[in-house]
Amino acid sequence: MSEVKHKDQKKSLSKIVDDLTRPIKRHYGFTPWILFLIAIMALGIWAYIIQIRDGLGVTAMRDYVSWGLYIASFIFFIATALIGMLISAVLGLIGIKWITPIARIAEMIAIGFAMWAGLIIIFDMGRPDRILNIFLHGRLQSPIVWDITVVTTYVAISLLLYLLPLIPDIPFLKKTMKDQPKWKQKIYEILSFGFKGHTEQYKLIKRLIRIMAILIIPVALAIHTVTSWLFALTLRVGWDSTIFGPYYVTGAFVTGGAAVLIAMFIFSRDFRLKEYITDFHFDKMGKLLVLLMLVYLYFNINEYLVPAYKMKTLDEHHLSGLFTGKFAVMFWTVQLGGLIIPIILMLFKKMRRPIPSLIIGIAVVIGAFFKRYLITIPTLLHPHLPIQNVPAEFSTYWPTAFEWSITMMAVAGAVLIITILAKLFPIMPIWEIAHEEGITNEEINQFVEEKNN
Amino acid sequence: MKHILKARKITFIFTLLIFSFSVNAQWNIPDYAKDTKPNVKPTYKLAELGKQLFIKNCIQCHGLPGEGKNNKAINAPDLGNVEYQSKHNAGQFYYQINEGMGFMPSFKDKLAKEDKWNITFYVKSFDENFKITGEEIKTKNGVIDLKKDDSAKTLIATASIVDKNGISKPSEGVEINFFVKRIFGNLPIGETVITDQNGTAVFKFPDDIPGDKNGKIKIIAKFKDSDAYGTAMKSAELNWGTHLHFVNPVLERTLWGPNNRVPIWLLLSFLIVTGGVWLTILYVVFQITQIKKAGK
Repeated sequence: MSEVKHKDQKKSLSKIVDDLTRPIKRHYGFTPWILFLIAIMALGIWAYIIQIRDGLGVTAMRDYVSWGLYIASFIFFIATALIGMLISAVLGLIGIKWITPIARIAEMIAIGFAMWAGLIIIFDMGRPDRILNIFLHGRLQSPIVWDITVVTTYVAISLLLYLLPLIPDIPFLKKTMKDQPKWKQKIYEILSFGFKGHTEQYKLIKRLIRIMAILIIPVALAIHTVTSWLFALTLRVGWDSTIFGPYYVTGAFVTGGAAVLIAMFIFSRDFRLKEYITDFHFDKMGKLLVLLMLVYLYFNINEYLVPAYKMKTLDEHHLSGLFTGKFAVMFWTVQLGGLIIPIILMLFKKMRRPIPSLIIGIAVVIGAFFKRYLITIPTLLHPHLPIQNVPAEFSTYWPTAFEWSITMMAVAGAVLIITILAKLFPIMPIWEIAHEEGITNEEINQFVEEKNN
Repeated sequence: MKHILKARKITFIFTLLIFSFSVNAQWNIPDYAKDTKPNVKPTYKLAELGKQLFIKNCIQCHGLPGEGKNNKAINAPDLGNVEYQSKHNAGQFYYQINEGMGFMPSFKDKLAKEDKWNITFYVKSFDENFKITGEEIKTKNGVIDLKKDDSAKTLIATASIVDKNGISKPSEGVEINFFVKRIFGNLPIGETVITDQNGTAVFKFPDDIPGDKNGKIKIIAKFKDSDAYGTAMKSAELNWGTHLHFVNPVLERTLWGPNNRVPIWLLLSFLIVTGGVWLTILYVVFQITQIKKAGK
């Protein structure tokens, strides 16, 4: 029903351009929002300066738990970034139309979170000044080196996948942003790459997008598989699993899908784009999320129930800690509140409306964050040699205020990147939406020329 | 050498750890322990059996009594110490073996009652006031001499007994065992040989004993019955071992090697995958600069 409605309402090109460039021109909530993000980041920077000055001792990480909140956040960030690939590449390549207004949002999330994922690794280093040693002396046999390679590659491809569909939008910006600051116009001038709306240029850009969309699929699978290998290539209980790669990838899609739902809600309300991101889109995205969550649930069942059925001695320590022990409250809250209940709720159409979607999305994202925590920390508390004759604090872990501040800085930083991108460029591809509305290239070119005069 | 240092380091750390929680513990020997008595009279023969058990179970921490090689870090006393002996009679000592305390393990279920008493007899034999009966076991002062015959790869061992006056006489019917020296302990090789009337015994060296890379090997000859002939031994360096071709695994291309010895398959996979992806990225970046051209 809503699909029909969506297609019936033809929008004029000038309306589309107006709607999508309005938030770039003037947006009243923007300054306080940026200040809020900067305030969080300032706190994180202060915490980080202290961490540099006093060393990693200010964190709760000790001899046993040497990967704490930072690495858990790192997996979470990589996971969130993965959604860019699923939406703009996989769904785009198989020709799914409803992703057009969402694809760029997914790509913005991918860029923001992938960039900060790299930085979080540096926060986890006691001597970040030695980072160059990874490149000088890194061993190619080590998954850490693969991880750095693939994160860098993913950021590069995500940037290109953001930039390429943006190029045909630049003429609209150049024409409508005459009253904007000079530096902004300069950026638009550079990023236009001489695009004039010629059919040949459209053809070339579409071809390049296609190449990148195909390329990002294996790279995105690689990025999260390699992240899982950082764990799975060890013999540690809870990590020593053959399904860790797909388990991480599917978990990542769940996280990213929920993040996209949240972003869709915020952008459609705050940027007044309800006509573009409609209930129909929320419904579709909700259905997609249910599918992804069901696949993830399947992997969870395999990951936990297969060792639980056999209960090898070491597995038993680990699993009883999760099921009934120290981590039971967190584990069941995450599994029920972040996965099973959202699946059940989202099976109902009413729950796939914008506001329920937003709430479920937030629950899934928070659950996903603590899921990474549950993957990382309990295993480290079960070393192969028993913990003995060490200070009592070594045998437990809960992040300190410093770790939370620095992690929150990373979250704020990723959101800041998304905010800045949304403030510089339209959050949806104007040209693709215009094409979908049946507006031809000639009409677009004519429109751009008219405005020029 | 590195191994030994490492082993020492580990022992040291371990000792310190144990020390840290056992330092405050105190022996609390009940009064009745003093009156505990064995079923048999202590004899030198039983004490000798106790010595063998002492060497197996106690020597690591206490050292041989009177030699002062006890582990001071964990408060393990030298049991030959006069002060220790005067404060603990046989019953009290027996109680300590049985119960244990702190780092001293309990031997209640680990050793038979007779064995524990034999150890007690051995330790108390260092106390002048302790009455011990029977004949003191005297070992003869035996000496071993070794000659090697390179062509036949045989060793000729000569056993002789040195008497009080320092005169040595070849001895017949003495059993001699041969060992190869390893980093830890000795490896027994071949059969026991028995000396003839000239006091000599011929030992055929096996062909399959691995030596170092030059085939060098250190061999030791000992009396089988050390109680009777003493603990004398004779060692010799031979190059009769098989040549060892030791390949340092770190020098090969392995997953655990350094970066410059990464396995070829891994290097190629990495280069092909990463190179392929980045060439594509560079191609696309180059094509972006061609957009302008396409518009003309």
